[in-house]
Amino acid sequence: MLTYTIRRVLIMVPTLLVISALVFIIIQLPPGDFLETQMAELQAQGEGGNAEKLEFLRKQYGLDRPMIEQYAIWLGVWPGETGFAGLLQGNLGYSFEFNEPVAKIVGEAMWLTIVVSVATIIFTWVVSFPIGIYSATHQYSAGDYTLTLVGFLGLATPNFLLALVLLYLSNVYLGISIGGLMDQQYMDQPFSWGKAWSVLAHLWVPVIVIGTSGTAGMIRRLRANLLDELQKQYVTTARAKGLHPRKLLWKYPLRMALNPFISDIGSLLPEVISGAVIVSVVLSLPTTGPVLLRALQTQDQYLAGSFLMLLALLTVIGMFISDLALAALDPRIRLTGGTQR
Amino acid sequence: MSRHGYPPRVLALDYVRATTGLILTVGPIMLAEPLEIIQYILGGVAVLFAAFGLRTLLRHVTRVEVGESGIRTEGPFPRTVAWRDMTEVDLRYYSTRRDRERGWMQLRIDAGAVRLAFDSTISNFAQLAESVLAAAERRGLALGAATLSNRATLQGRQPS
Repeated sequence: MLTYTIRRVLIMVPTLLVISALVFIIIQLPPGDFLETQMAELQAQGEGGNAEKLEFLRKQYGLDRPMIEQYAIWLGVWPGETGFAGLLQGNLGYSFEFNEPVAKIVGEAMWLTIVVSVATIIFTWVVSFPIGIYSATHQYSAGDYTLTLVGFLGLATPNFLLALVLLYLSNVYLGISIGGLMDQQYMDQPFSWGKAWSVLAHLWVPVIVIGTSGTAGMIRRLRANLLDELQKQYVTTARAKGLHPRKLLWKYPLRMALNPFISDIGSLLPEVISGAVIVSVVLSLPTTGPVLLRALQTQDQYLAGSFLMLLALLTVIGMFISDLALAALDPRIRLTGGTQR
Repeated sequence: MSRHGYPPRVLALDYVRATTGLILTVGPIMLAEPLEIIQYILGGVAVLFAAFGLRTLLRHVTRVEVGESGIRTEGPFPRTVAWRDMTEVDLRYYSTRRDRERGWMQLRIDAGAVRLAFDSTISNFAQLAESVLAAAERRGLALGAATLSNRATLQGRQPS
C-alpha cells in the first residue's frame, strides 16, 4: 500500500501543477484585464478614469508583469511586491470586483454551501441505496420497472429545469416562494438558532433539486453493479450451499457493488464547495456557486482562479481518497488488467 | 528452494520517486515559507517519501529465500516465517491508472507479529507467490476472493 500511496501522491503533484497553469492561462485568455474593463465602463459613463491611474493600479496588483511571473507569484513560489504571498502561503488573492480578500468572500458563502452539499449527499445515498438494492434483487418486477422509470426521469431532467418547475408550482398552487436558503430577516445576520431553523426549513427544495439526478444515476449504477455480482459463480455456489439469501447479499455481492459509492467520494469534495452553480442562481441560494459565476463573468482573475484551484485541489484529494479506499476494499485484478512482473 | 531479489532497474525507479517526492515537499517548506498548515501537510508527505526511500534501500540489500519449511529474508533485518506459523496470506493488485492496466501485485504474509510483503517487481514473483499460496492452502488457511482471483490471473487462468 505504501508503494501505491507514493505513486498516487506523485501523480497528484504534476496534475495540480498542470491544472493550476491551465486555470491561470484560461483566466488570462480574454483580451484586457479587469482593470481595463472597469476603466472602459467608467469612461462610458462619462466618469474619470485615466491612463495613469490604470497604470498605477496595474502595477500595484502586479498585472504589468509577464504572465509566467504572475503565475509563479499567484502560486506562491516566486516573491512578489510583499515577498512570498500566494496560494502556498494561504493568500488566495484580492478580488477586484468585491474589493475584498478572496478568502473573506468565499468564506462567507462557504458554510451555507457545505450545509446544502452535505444534506444533498446524505439524501442521495439514503434514497439510492435501498432503491438500488431493491431494483437489483427484484429485477423485472413491477417495482423495478416503476423505480427505473422514475430513475430515468430524474436522469433526464436538468436540475435547473426542476428548480424552475418547483418555483412555479409552489408560487401558483401553494402561494409561497421557495427561493433562497433562509427567511429575509436572517440575511446577513450572525448565527442564531432561528436562522439555523430557517435554513433547515428551506433546505429541502435545493436538496431535492440538486440531489435528484445524482440519486437517479447512483440507483442505476448500484443496480447494474449488483446485478453483475449476483450473476457470478460464487453467488450461485453460496446459494447451492444453502447460505441465507440476505446474508449472502450483504456479505459479498453488495460489498463489491459498493464501488460506485466509494468512487463518488472523488467528486463529492469539489461538489461541497462548487454549490451547483446554475441551480443556486435559479433558486437565489447564497452559496459559493453564484460567486464563482460572477467572478468568471467579470474576469476577476484572482477570485475565479483561486476558486477554480480550490475545486481542482478538492477533486484531486477526493480522487486520492476514493482510490485509496477502492484499493483497500477491492484489490482484485480486472479482466482487462495485466501485471507487471 | 528458490532465491529472489529486486532488480536494480526497479529499485532505481523507486529511488527516483523517493527523491522527487522529497524535493517537491521539502523544497517549498525550505524556500517558499508556506502557511503553517501546508507546512505540516508537506512535512507529513515528506516523511512518507523518506520512509519509501528507506524501504527501497532495505529492498536493495535484502534477498528472499523460499524453502521447504518456510520463507526467509536476508539483510539488515532478517526475518523467517515458517509455513506452520502463517496466519494470513493476501495477494493484492494495485494500479494507479483509471483502466487499472499496468499495475502490480503485492503478496502479504502474516505470521503473528511478523509481516512480510513482496511486490511483483521482485524476481520470479509468480513462483514465489505460488509457493506461499500453496503452503497456505496446505495449512488450511482461507484465501480471500481477491487473492483467489489474482492468483488465477497470475497462473494465466481466467479469474472467477
